Amino acid sequence: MTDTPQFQGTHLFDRLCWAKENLDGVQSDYRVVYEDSVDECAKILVPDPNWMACALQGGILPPVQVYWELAKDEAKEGFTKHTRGYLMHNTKPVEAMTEEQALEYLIMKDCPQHVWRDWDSGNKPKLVICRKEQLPATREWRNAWKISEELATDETVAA
Amino acid sequence: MALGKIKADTLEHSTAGTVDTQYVVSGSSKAWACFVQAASHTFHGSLNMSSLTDSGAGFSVVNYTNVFVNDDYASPGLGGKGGARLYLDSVGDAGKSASAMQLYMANTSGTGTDADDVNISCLGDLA
Repeated sequence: MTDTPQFQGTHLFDRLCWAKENLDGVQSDYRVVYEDSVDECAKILVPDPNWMACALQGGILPPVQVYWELAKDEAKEGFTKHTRGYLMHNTKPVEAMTEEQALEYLIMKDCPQHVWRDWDSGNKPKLVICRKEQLPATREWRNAWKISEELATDETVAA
Repeated sequence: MALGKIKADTLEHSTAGTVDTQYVVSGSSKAWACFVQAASHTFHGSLNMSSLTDSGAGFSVVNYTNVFVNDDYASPGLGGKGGARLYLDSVGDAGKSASAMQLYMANTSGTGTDADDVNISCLGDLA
C-alpha cells in the first residue's frame, strides 16, 4: 500500500492531485437515499471513486467539521468570499476510514444538515444507506421516487 | 510534503517569449467530472469531486472536495444522449455555491432527461 505523505499544511487540492496519481479509484456499491423536501423526489448520493480512495487511504481529507465551518461562513449575510480556506489545508487530516465510516462522513458533508441531524424523527426515515442493487432497476418515473413507507425509524432500518 | 518541487514565476521559450506561471495556475481547471445520468448515475472520471447527487430525471448536483473561494467560477460543460437533442442548464445562480453546483439536462421541450454523458470543468479560485 502506498504511504501517504505528511499532508498537514499542504493545500488540499495538491493532495487530491497526489491521490489521483497514486491511488486507484474505488467505486462504492453504497448509495445514500434521502428526502429533503416533501414536495420533491428522493435524492441519491453517489460517492466519487477518487474521493473514496482518499477516505480509505487516510491522511488526505480534512475533518468534516471543517466543511461545516465553511458552510456557516457562506451562509452569512454579505458573504463575498471564503477567508478560512486554511482550515481545509492546515487542520490535521483524518485517519483512514472504512467504507461505512466514509459514507457517514460524506452524508455529513454533502447532505443537508436538516436531513441527517434528525433523519429518524418522522414516520419514516428521511435518509437510508443502501446498496445500488436495492434501487429500482430502471429510471422509470424517477421524479416520483420516494423512500418506502414500509421502513420504520428504529433499529430494523439498518437490517 | 515529500515530493519534488520546482519554483518558478515565469516559463521562457527559446524563441517564443515567456509566460507567467500564474497564468497556468489561474487558468487550469480546478474541478472536472465526466459522468452518466442514465441508469447508474456514476462518475466515469473526475478531479476534486466528493460526490454526485441524483436529484431526479436529468437533474444532478456535483459536490467539491476543495471548495471554491465563492460561487464566481466558470463551469463550461456539455452532455448528450444518443438519439436525442439535449441541452445543459446550470439552473441559474441559485443552483451554484462554493461547494456544489446543480446541473440540469433537458430535451428541446425543457423536460428533464437523463444523459448518457455529462462533462463539466470548473475554472476559478479555490479557497
